This record gives sequence, C-alpha cells and structure tokens, in this order.
Amino acid sequence: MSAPVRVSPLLDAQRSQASKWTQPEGMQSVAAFGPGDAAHLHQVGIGDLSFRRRAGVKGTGAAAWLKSLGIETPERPNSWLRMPDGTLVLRLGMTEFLVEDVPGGGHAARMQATAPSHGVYPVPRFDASLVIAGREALELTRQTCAFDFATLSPQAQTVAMTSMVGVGITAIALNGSDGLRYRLWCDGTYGSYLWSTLVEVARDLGGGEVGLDALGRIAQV
Amino acid sequence: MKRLSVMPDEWLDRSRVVRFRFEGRSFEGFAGDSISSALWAAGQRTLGRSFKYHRPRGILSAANHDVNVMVQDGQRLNTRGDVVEVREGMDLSAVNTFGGLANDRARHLNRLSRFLPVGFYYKAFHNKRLFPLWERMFRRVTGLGVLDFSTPHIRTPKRYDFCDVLVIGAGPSGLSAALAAADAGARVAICDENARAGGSGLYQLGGDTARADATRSLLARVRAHDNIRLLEGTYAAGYYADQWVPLIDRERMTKMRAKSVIVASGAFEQPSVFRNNDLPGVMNGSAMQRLIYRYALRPCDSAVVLAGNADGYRVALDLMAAGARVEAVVDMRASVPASPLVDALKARGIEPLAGHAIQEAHPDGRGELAGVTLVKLDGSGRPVAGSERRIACDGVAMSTGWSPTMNLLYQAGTRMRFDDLLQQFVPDQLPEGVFACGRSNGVYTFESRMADGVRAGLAAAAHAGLGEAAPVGVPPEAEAPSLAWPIVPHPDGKNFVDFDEDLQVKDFENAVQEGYDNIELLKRFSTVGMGPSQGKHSNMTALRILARLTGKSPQQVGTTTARPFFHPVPLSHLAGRGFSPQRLSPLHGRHAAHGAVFMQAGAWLRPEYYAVGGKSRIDCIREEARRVRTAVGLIDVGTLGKLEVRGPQAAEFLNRCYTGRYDNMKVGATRYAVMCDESGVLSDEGVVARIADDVFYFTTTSSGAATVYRELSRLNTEWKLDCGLVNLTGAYSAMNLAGPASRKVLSQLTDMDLSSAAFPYLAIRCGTVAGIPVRMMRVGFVGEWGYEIHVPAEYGPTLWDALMKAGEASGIGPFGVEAQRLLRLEKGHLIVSQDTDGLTHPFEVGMDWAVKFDKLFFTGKRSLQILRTMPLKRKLVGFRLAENHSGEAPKECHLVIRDGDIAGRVTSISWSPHVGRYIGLAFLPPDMAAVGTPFTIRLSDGGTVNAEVCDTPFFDPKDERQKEIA
Repeated sequence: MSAPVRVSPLLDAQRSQASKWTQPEGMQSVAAFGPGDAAHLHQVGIGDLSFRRRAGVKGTGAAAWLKSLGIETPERPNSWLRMPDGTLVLRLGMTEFLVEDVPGGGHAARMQATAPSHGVYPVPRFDASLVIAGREALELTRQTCAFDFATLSPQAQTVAMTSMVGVGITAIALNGSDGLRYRLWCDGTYGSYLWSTLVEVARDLGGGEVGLDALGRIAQV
Repeated sequence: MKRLSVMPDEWLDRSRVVRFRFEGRSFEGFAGDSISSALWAAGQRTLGRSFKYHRPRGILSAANHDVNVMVQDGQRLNTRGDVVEVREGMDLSAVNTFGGLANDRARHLNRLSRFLPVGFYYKAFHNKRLFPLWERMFRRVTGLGVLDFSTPHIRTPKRYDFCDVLVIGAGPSGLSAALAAADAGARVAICDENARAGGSGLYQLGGDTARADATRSLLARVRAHDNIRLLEGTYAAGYYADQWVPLIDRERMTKMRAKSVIVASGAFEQPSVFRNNDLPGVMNGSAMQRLIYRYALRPCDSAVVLAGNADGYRVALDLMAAGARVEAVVDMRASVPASPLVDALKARGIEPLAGHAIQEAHPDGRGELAGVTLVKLDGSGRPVAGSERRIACDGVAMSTGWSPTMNLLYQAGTRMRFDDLLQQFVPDQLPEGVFACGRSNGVYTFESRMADGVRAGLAAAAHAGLGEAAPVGVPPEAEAPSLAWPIVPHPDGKNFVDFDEDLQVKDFENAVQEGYDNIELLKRFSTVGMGPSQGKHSNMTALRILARLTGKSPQQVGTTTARPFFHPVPLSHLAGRGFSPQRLSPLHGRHAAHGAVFMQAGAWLRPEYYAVGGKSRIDCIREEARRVRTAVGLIDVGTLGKLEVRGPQAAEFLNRCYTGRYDNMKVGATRYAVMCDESGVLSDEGVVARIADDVFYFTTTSSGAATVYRELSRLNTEWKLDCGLVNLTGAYSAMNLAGPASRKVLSQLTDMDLSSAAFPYLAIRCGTVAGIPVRMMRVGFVGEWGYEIHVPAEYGPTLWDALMKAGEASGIGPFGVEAQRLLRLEKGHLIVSQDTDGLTHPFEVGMDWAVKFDKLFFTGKRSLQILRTMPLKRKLVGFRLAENHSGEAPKECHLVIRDGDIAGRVTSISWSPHVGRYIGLAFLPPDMAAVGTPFTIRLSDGGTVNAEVCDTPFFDPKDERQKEIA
C-alpha cells in the first residue's frame, strides 16, 4: 500500500485559487496559484509551508530527551535556533519545544518513533505553517496583529507567541538573501481563516498568495 | 473678502481650480481650499443654519468645530465644511434646512425662541402616548443630514503601529518635543489633525514673520530627521491604558502603541459672548488668521477686533497685513499691558479701547454681520449706559481667551488644577508615561512653548529608556491668555455660549435657577457640550457662568468627564475590517463537496445536514438518520475536545478531575466521564480511553474543549502531580463510522481484528486504517455499532475519502449534526448544555452511577455529597407525544405547565421515524417523573400539547445493536 497522502490544513482555503499542485513530503500542496506569484512575493507574499514535518514535546525532561535524540535546544525561553542541517528548533516558554525539519529531514519522525522518557510529553504538531515575505510584509503584520513584528529580530532569534487576526500564532523572523521574512505557525483548524484573511489584506497591499514553485528556496530553508 | 496673493505657507494649489456646487449654485475654489474657505472667498458668508433656531451661521473657528457648517456631500453626510477639502464636482447642500439654506422655512423658529427655552421639551412632551410623535417631529426638525441606506460598505482597514514617543500636535511645542525626543534616540511619531503641520506657528504671526520662520525651521528639521514620522491630517481620537492611542486619518484607524505620549495639542480659542455673536462675519480671531495664512483669504474688508489678550493684537496686525481695515480694537481689560504688539498697532494709527466691549452685533438684510455696538464697561464688567457707539464692519474677530485641549490628558487620568493667573486648567499631576507641553500645559509665549517642548521631549524619551530628562527653563507667563469673564450681558439675549445647541446665557441662568447647579447636571439638562463639537468652544464659558452663578471658583465647579472620541470617528473606520476567527475541521472541504449546509457551533462551522436536490431539510436529516440505522453513515466529530494526559499519576489526575474512577481501568478500555465544578454542577462530559498504563486519551464536548483544557492545566499546575497534559484538539481529526455495515466497511481498510471478542464495545485500539495510524474507539453515541476513529489531522481527509470509497457498496453517506442529535435522542443520550443548564447536577439527569464517592477526592465531591442527601427538585425524563399527534409540536425550551404554573421545560424534542412518534427529554418535578405520567406542554402561541413520561432509551433499549448478533 502506498503511503497515505498528507493534506495541508490550508488546502480547502487554497483549492479554488490553485493552478498547479505538488506533493512535497507527501503532502498535497499548491505549487502555483498563477502567474502573479513571483510579483506577490516581491510585494507581500504568503506561502504555505505546512508540508514540512514537525513535532513538539514538552515537560521538564523535554530538553534532555531532545538532546538524546541529537536535537539542539535554545538556551533562552521564547527563542529559536537553526541546527547545522537547517532544522528549526523553537523553545516555547520554559519547557516546550517545536522542531521543524527541512525537507528530507528526519528529526520529527525520530521524535514520533521514540518512546518518551519520564517527564516528557509528546505534542503532535500538525500546524498550519506560513511564511510571509516581501517589502510590505511588516505592513501586513501591522494590519493584522497588535504585536510589533519589527521587534522580531533574526539576530536576536526571538519567538513571539501572540494573536493575529484573532488566531493564536507562534512567529519568528528569518533573514534570507532576498530580505526578511516571517514564519508563522497556528493550530491547523484555524489555518484556513488565518490564510484567507492574510491573503485578503495582502491583496490590498498589492500582494497575495504564493505557491511553492515561486517560493523556491524560501520553502526549502 | 478677497483672495490674497500667494502666502508663504498657504495650503492652496493655485494651479488647480476646483469647481463645485453648493445649494444649487456653482462655485470655484483652489485645490487645498476647505469648503468653507472656497465659499467665503466667493462671497458666500452664510454657510449653514443653527441646530435649534435655524439662525444663519458662517465660519466660527475654521478649526473643525464649526458644526453649523456641516454639509451633505452625496452619500457623505455631516461633512465639516471648515476642514474638509473641497473637491472637483462636489454637489453640496447644507444640512438641517427646510427648503434650502437661503429660504429655510424653519428660520421662523428663531422668532419663537422665547417659547423654546432650554429643557422645554422635558416639560412639554412627557406624555408617553404622544412621545413617539414628538420624537419623530424633533428628529426631523433638528436632523443632521440624510442617511442613504444604499451607501456601499467600505471595508476600511485598521492597523497597529508602534513608537517610542508619540507627540500629539505638531505646533511649535510639539515639533520641539519631537526633535528633542528623536535626538535622544527615540523613534518618534508626531501627528496633527490639520492637513499640514506647523500649528499656530504658521498663522498667529502678528504681522511678524519671525514666528513663521522659526516654525518652518522646526518643520524642516522634523521632516529630515530619520527618527521622526510626521503624520499630517491625523488626529488622536482617544487615550487608552498603557499609552495606546487610536490615530484617525482619512483612510483608516491606526492603533498606536507608544512608550511615552506627549500631548502638545494646543488650545481652542473660545468665542466671546455678546448679543448676536453668531452672525456670519463674527468669528474667532484665530479663524481669521487661518483664513489669511492657510487659504490666502482676507476674511473681511473692515474689522472690529474684540481683544482680551495679546493674541487679539496679533489678529489686528495680521488683518492689517492682509489689507483689511481695522475699525477698532476693543479690549475688555480695564487696562492694556504695554507690549511691542500694542506699540505696533499704535504706530499704525489704532488706539486700543481699553475697558470696552462689543455689546451687540447687527445683521444686514440677509442676517449677516453689518456692524457692532461698542460699549464701555464699568468696574464690574457691566455696560455703562449711554456709552454705546455703533460701528459698521463686515468682520468681528473675537480674541478673549482659550481653553486648553485637555481631553486626552483627562482620558489618561491627569489631575488638573485651575490656574488663576492663566485662567485655565493646567496639568497638576500627569500619569506615568504621559507628558504635556505648550498651551495645553499652560505655556503661551512662543519661545517658552518651544522650550517646554524640549523639556517634555527629553522627559518622554527618558521614560522610554532613551537619554535623560534634563531641566529646561520655561519662564512663567507674564500675561493671562484668557479673560475670566468674556461675557457681555444683554436684555434681549441671543448671546450664544454653545453654538452647537443654540444655548444662550439665560439658558444657563434658568437651568441653575431650576436646581441644575453642578456641572454634570447642568450639562445634561442644558445639553451644553453635547453637540457635535463636544463643548470644545463652549464648556469653559459654561463653567465660568456656573461658577459665577453659584459663587464657586472654576476649580470647585470642575469639568465634565472627557470620553473618547475626541472628534467624531467615521463609523466606516470603526466598522471596517473586523476579525472573527472561524475554526474549520480538516474535513471541511469534504463536507462542502457533499453539499453540506453549515451551522455555527461555537468557533466551528459544522455540517448541519447535507442538502440533496429536491429534498427538504427535514427529509435530508431523516434520510441521513435512516442510513445510519439501516446501513452505514460517517460523521465528522473532530470538533470534540481531544486531550492526552501522560505520566505515573495520570490516572490520579483524571480521578480528581472527573466524578468516575479511572485508576482501575484496563489498558484498551474506555469509560464515560462526567466533570463537575466545585458546586457539583455538571460542566462537561466525554470519554476517557486508557492507551497505556500511564497514558490516557480523553474527549470533551466541542464547546467545552478550550475551557476544560485551561482548567485542567490550572489544576495540574496546582496539584503538582507527576503527569503532563497535552491538547490535541486541533492536531487530531476524528470521525464516527456508524451503522450495521460499519464493520464491513472498515474491515476493507485495516488488518486489525474487528471481532467483538478482540474489539468489544467500549474498547479502544491503536492500529492503522488505510495505512494511517489511528486511535479507534467502539462507542455508541448514536446507538449503532460504530467506530470513532481519531487520526493525525493531516490524514483526516485521506481517511474520509478511503472510508467513503470503501462504503460505497454498503450505501454509505455522511450525516450531520441534526441527524446525530436525532439518533442520540432515540438512545436517550443527553447533550451537556442542551439537556443540562448552569445548575444541573448529575443526580438530576440520572447519572448517579457515574459519581464514585469512594474516591478520596474529586472536584465537586463535597457539594455532591450534600446534594445527594437533599430531595431532587427536578429530573430529566424521557417523554413522548401521542402516536397520532398532529399539528404543531413543542420545541426545545417550551414550558411544562401544571395548574397554571411552570413545572418544567423541554430540553430536546424530535420526531423519530424509528419510534414512529415525537420523543424528547424534559425537566420535570420528581412527582411527575414516573413513567406514564401525563403532562402538558405550552406552545409559543399559548396552545397546549399533551405528553407522557416514558422510559429511555426510546430505541434499542437493550443495546442489541452493539452485540455480535445484531
């Protein structure tokens, strides 16, 4: 039997706009929305990175358990690090962690397959995972969130847990060759609402949704 | 009036002529003109009618307070002519007229004014029966524009913004403050309600350009400063806790969060009070200066200036610089302090008339200003009989005092005190993070305002953690900027205090005489300050009158409460884009594809039923239920709360949270769970499944998920048990495959042993279905053999598709919330919060069996121990209507009536195709709860229906459907 298809939590919100599909990491995702994807990305583009595999864990033994699996953890609460292989590790509060693989990574699968030790509580993460990029990215957050994203410095590697358009999100800022971008994670069941609302505001700003093809390297790192 | 040659700081774009219509006539102005300035330049001096007496009114302040000059601009109503820029093609009409501005039929009300004193409507129109009639009439007579209900909904975006220091007001003090704060390293935002920054520094010149030069220099530095954002045409609408200020511009509301706020919002010039002080042509001195320097407009040809401070002399000099003839400068002060301004005026041949006032303004045939009567004042400020002197003029400038713009300071919680020298309120104690400078801080001298701005800017930056506050010398004022009594009595009245509401001096005297002698009562009785300008030009004068009438000081009288918003905020800005988070199941798209009709269930959208062409809603629901009873159906139950508790003390944790026992459960078993609050009230229910010795997976109601998780997290923290709680509600999708054919369908997709022996009723098993890892429970909420399958959310749609495909041959179909409600009712299962309320305890709903008192502790135990010793007051019972019942059936919440009194209520009811009659659940008194007891239900129309108590379940009472033989 072939591996079952994973489905992005944003698929229902994206379906009517999609023009080309793909299946990275076994997840049905949108490769392209249309010819305007690249232009959206320049202005303010929103992409769906839910296909990346991720896992969470919390508890007093979580950090040590992750270390035993070869996963580094940030020292400060509410901060993040990127492992040499590109894996993102977010420390959410004191004892909770979110680990997101780069495509082809295996940390999340290893976490799911490894029995937790004492004081370790696995947190399955099937979030809606978004990226916001483009010169109006900050303005998009200004119209949708009471938190000042300008304070999310990629250098400080700070994690923000806040509310955007009324949806609880986790956010970080990353530096890329093409400028600053924001990564967001939220409960997948709120994902469609978050996606649709952000796209609506982004369109007002001259941007919009962006498929994985146009995201290119942004989707990979 | 005349358009002047180009002024250095004018707002006009003379390259663009703007054509528009007003009251049916064509006009021209320049781009940058306000509606009022364009009309005034064209010789149109009557711009509107007053609210109550429909008197002709013109420009008063030119500062956003001219509420008598509100115009209808197509679908935009109540557009303020004094500040809104005129645009090409506008077709404007004055609001609040009957038959047009010139021939307003309601103008005759002016002659009836003696019969319409303040508060007359309280006395004349209190008859309840006739009140709606009067209300309609008054609303019509005093209407403000016509609302067009076809106006399109504008989705105005809102935004948040952030800065270290927010400066409100971009006049000389605000600009200085912004520069000082920015130089200290602060990120500064400075806003000004005017279309262009600079404030009075660019128009209150006294014929001397030095002030304008200094202000231009400040502005240039502000514009060039990397740390400063200048927001023109933007007003601060209010002050909210922790330096949160909504900024309103033409497009949107910006919610600005600042670390420090500097209020540099200046002061409102207050009209002097004399008879006919409202005639078109009589205006504040600062209004004339705005017309001259902003709109390059000579406001009148011959002017009389009524002064009470140095600013009056500046107005006179500015008028002369604009080419107007100043007929007289009348100073209400007994003596005029020597100053360069006075000298300059005298040098131009104008000798101020100290101790004089304007007693009365005179209208021409159109009701516009034609002249004034001057009068000498005695030592107590009263006119000296026989001293009257009439002067012809077409302009009167009133410059007798100011009221600080302290609205935001009050909203921030500033304690104010009345300064007798300044004759105004000044901040006495500012809240942390809030600063004031300039006129709103009682500093009027131009150089002092700039110094005060620097002081405030440094202090605000220091509060934001940048630089240090430094002492900056701000000399005290040598001259009062405001008169204590800018009022000239007149026996014939029409000396207006509040131009919004047409309130005269005698209205205040009458109000106080009637006992409304404190400021809050006076406001409500007289409506002073309750018009569109919110008292900006009237509250201070009203306060002075009340103080004099009651023999108190202004400090003792105090001010009324200042509430947001500072200016009216367009509803489009408030009601623009809103955010209402919607939660969608991972299967939402599948439901939509099946034709689901969705219903709101808390934050979720759930399929109420699946529409089928040609079938009614009820037929669709019944067909879905029939399919479950006879074949197999699939329902999305992913909205259930889904939690996991893990750890050595996980069972103890559940024992404490729920009324049942969970430490004695076998791995692989499930158990119904009832949760109570500390008062014993049933608060939630679900199913607890033991996955491993130290792992429990359990569900909550859909609506209770977030609350239960929050409360259990709190308890876990408090109890410090060795276990951890994880919320999986969004991470897992869940669906219930139910019906006689469910096992057959499922068996095609899994190699798990589905036999009754290996997977009995109420068991949980982990395995794979369609290659997807699942947690699967055999539960029977709908009363059929079925499987509640929980999978990672990202596999939910794939599993749904697989089950629907595998079930095709068995006649599978989706079923929605309504069919599930019917099916569970047939089994007599209650729904928490539908069949229970905020007082229901387990004994009332027959759940005694679920309460295990042999546990040491569980939440609600002590209350339930007491409750079980007390007689029941009500009981949830099953009931049915007669088999042959026809006509209207009761609905949920219809009342049970006994001997004319309420005895109970229906909580659930539905027609059951499988039972063949209406069945339901109802709360009844215990003495009516015996099976077979007849009772009466009252319908909405007062009719009654007979019912009888019966046993539950209504369907399959022996649970045969869960047994292998079924």
